[in-house]
Amino acid sequence: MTQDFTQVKTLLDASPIAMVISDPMDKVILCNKAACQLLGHKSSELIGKALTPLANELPFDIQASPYQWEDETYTLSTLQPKQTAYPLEEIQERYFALLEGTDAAIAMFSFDGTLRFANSLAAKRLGIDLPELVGKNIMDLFPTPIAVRQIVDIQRVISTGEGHSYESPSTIQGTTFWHRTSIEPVRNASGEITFALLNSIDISQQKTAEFALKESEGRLQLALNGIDLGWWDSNIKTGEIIYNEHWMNLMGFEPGQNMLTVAEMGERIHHEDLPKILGVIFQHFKKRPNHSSYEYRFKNGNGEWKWILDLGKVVEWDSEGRAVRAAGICLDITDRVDINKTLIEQKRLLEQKNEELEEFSYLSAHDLKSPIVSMVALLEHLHLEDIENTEKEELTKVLLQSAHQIQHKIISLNEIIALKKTFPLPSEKIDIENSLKQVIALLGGQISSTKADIQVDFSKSNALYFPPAHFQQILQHVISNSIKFRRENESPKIHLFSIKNSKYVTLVIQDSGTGFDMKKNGDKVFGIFNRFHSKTEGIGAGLYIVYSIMSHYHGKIEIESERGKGTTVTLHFRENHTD
Amino acid sequence: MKSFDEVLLVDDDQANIFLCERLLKGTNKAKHVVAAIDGQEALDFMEKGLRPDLILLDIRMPVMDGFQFLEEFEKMNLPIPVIMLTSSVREEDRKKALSFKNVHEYLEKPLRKATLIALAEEFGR
Repeated sequence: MTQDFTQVKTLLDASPIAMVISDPMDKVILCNKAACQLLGHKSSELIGKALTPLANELPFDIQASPYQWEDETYTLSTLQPKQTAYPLEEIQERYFALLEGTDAAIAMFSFDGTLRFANSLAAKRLGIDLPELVGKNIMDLFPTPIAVRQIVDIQRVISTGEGHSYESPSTIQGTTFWHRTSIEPVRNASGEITFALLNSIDISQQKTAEFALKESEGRLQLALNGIDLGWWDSNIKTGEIIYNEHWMNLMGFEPGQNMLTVAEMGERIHHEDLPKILGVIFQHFKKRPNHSSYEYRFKNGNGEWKWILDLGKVVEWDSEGRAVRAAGICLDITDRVDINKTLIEQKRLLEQKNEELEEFSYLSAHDLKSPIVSMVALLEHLHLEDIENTEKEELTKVLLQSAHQIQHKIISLNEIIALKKTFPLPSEKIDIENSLKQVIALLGGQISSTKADIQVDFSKSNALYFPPAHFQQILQHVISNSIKFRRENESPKIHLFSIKNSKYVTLVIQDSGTGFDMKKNGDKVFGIFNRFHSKTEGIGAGLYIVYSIMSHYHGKIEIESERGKGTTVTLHFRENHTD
Repeated sequence: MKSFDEVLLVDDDQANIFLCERLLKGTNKAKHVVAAIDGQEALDFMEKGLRPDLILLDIRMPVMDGFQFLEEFEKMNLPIPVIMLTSSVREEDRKKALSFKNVHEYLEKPLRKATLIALAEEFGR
């Protein structure tokens, strides 16, 4: 008997239809796999139980039919889930489980705002126990402004069938929470919208992070703008470089323009700096340092040259090791470069001045020391040795010469020091001829004793701008030299004339004196205490003074000379001199 | 005791020429002393055949200075010793002077008797 039923069970187990066999006493004697699954019990738990009360408790439709076996009539019942009640309940159960398992607060409302369902999280958020929550109206659950807004949203979703979502803050016990709420329509079996399902997720952490990021971005932007720093982001494949707007504004580009192509950059970067930049970029691609920096001149939107400092790096490489994207920051350092240039120029000038001063000090000391050493030695000679009167006279004569040398050098040094203290004097319009007359008056003794012949021609220009006192000093030294270095037994002939062009008024002073060898002395001509004549008085300070004055006022001086033929001094005075 | 037959003094400072002449003759260290007022005059003397035993040479002189003279003198390839006698204590002047093959000493003015005797012993006959 048992074996027979076992065979029957094997057959019935193969069927997807849930089937139960009961004996005439209504006791279950067999239950196939589908039935066990449907009833949620093991076969052993069901066998022996009365089928009818079990079936009545369960939401199944049972169709019973007699089953004849070995003279006994059994009942074969097929079980089918009830078409309406059971599936809905099952779905509800599943949904409840699902809804409880999410981290969203969920509530379902009818058109009039009555809460029909909520999950535990929604109840917790609202601070009301779940069983008490169902049936309450939305107006009782939220502050009026929020409730009104929500009921409007609910009714719109139910009317239109279109879902809706929004983010909003709410303050609970002094703490602000942010939620993202979505309202979706819920349809019944016939497709009519009957409810609206509110789904609210706490996004406070996300919002806090967003706010922090925005704040940080804001601070970064403020910082970048505050120090006029720019940033750029370059797509290397397309050759596009995106800049921040503030930088583009600073660089004089039209509002809204935030991109330059590599080709445009190539046109705007100074041609002398371009190879250097390409070198840095090439090295960056090759060695991949943390970042690379370079300075270059950039023609901005207004066509002005600006010095830019750029710091950048490749931030993305492709699988084949090619640079894809680069980014960096840039700073306008034009002012700094200008200051640097000024400092470098000032340093150069200071070094030059320092060298001149050192040379001046050395030569002054040397040229004073030399006659003093001789004088001391002469005095020792005079004192110690038993010398004859004729030699004494000769010695005294030499001593006097040395003393005169020292005297003249000290006078010249005083003049040079006094001259340098007067720099710069204001320029004035000078009448060249009048000025020359005053100098001739000062040199009256020399001129008359040598019968110097001075010819002038200032027809081309008789006016120039220069400090009058310094102009007279120049004339005095040049003319005095022409007289001093005259040819033996000849009266000096001096010819002064002027020339004018757009930049300079040029004064030429020619003499017929002894001249000197330019090949041997050309490089020493303006040095202090450099002399070019051995047998003529003079200590070599005149041309040094003339040169110092001319260079101080950015004028130019040229000398041409030939031994035995005379000397020409050409002085170029800047036109409209304003110093 | 050695001495020089002929010494050439090259200096624009008359006082130094006077002193050296007296010293050379007073100590009998030179039979003849020739004085040149600058490098050019000294060179002219040499070109005219002057061959002293010793040249005492200053640096800072008009027309042609001591260094310019040495450049020209070196071209003459004469085995005449040159002693610099100068007021310049600048190291670069000393180095430059001693770089010329004829220059043997770099002395500071004035020339002292003991120094002259030593020079005569070294370079005289």
